[in-house]
Amino acid sequence: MKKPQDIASLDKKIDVFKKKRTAKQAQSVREDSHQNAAKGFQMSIELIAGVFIGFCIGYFLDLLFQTKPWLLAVFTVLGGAAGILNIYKSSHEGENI
Amino acid sequence: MSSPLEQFEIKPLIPLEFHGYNISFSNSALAMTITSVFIVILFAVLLRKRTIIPNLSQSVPEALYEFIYNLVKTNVGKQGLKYFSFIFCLFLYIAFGNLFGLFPYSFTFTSHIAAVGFLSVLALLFKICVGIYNRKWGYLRTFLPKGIPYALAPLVVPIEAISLLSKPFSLTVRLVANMTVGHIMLKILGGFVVALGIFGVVPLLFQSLIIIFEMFIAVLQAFIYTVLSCIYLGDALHSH
Repeated sequence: MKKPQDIASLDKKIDVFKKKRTAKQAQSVREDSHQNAAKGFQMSIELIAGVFIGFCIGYFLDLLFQTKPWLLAVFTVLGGAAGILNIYKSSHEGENI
Repeated sequence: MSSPLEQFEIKPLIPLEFHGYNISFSNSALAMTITSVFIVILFAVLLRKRTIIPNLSQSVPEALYEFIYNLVKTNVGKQGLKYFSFIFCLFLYIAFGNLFGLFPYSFTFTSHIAAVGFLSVLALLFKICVGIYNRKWGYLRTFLPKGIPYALAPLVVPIEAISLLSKPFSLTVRLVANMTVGHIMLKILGGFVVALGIFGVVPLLFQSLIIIFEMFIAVLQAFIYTVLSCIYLGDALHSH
């Protein structure tokens, strides 16, 4: 005859634990999102840096060899690839810190 | 109301010209000089009584020293400690430059791509020299990591080269963007304080909090810059 009461009290206990856990999870997610935002900002810079440097190299090589649009186009695409490589590298950098 | 970007303007204080190049002593150069001299004087004063058991004034620079020492040790490794002095100078210069920029009527030289970009290019040259010195011809392996077929070399080598060259740019942009944004925000909030009259108390309170946050950002960005240049330098020492 004791069983139903036990189950009711157990339900209450479970509810309390669940509430505590969701509060904790929400806090950790909030903290993570700050770090992720900083990381995302960093990665966007890495990508743009690659494209920008590729563009600059292409532009100056074009001036040097007078092959106007071609090297610019090739090096901008290579710069994009380098940007993605940068993102890949920097995503591993964080593991050491 | 003056523009929020006016504070970043470079004005020549002592006009100088050398073979047609403008090498005037500007307000940016003055800020750099003050920062460097301040660091030297601060360390000289704090370390004037050197004892084995450090007193309070001695323990501050020692704590800073050990902090950066451990940073270099974990990120570059034992063989990176030879280059500790370079990293330590870089950290102090940027951290104090950022903090100096927060004083009223001062100038934030770390908000200029030319100033920080030079430091980053210096780190790049340093990295290449260290890499060649330590690994001789093996350093060229950086451009073609092991396990990649030689047929792909024409594609991989330019990509790795651009990746190497673009790192100083991304380092610079991060620091410069953080400094510029913070100072523009402070200026705009300051404009609100004046414009709102008696109700300006609200943005004033907010601004005091932002200033504390900016001090934190100033040191944090210097730290991040140092860590990333450490990792960047470490790449030159270790083969992949």
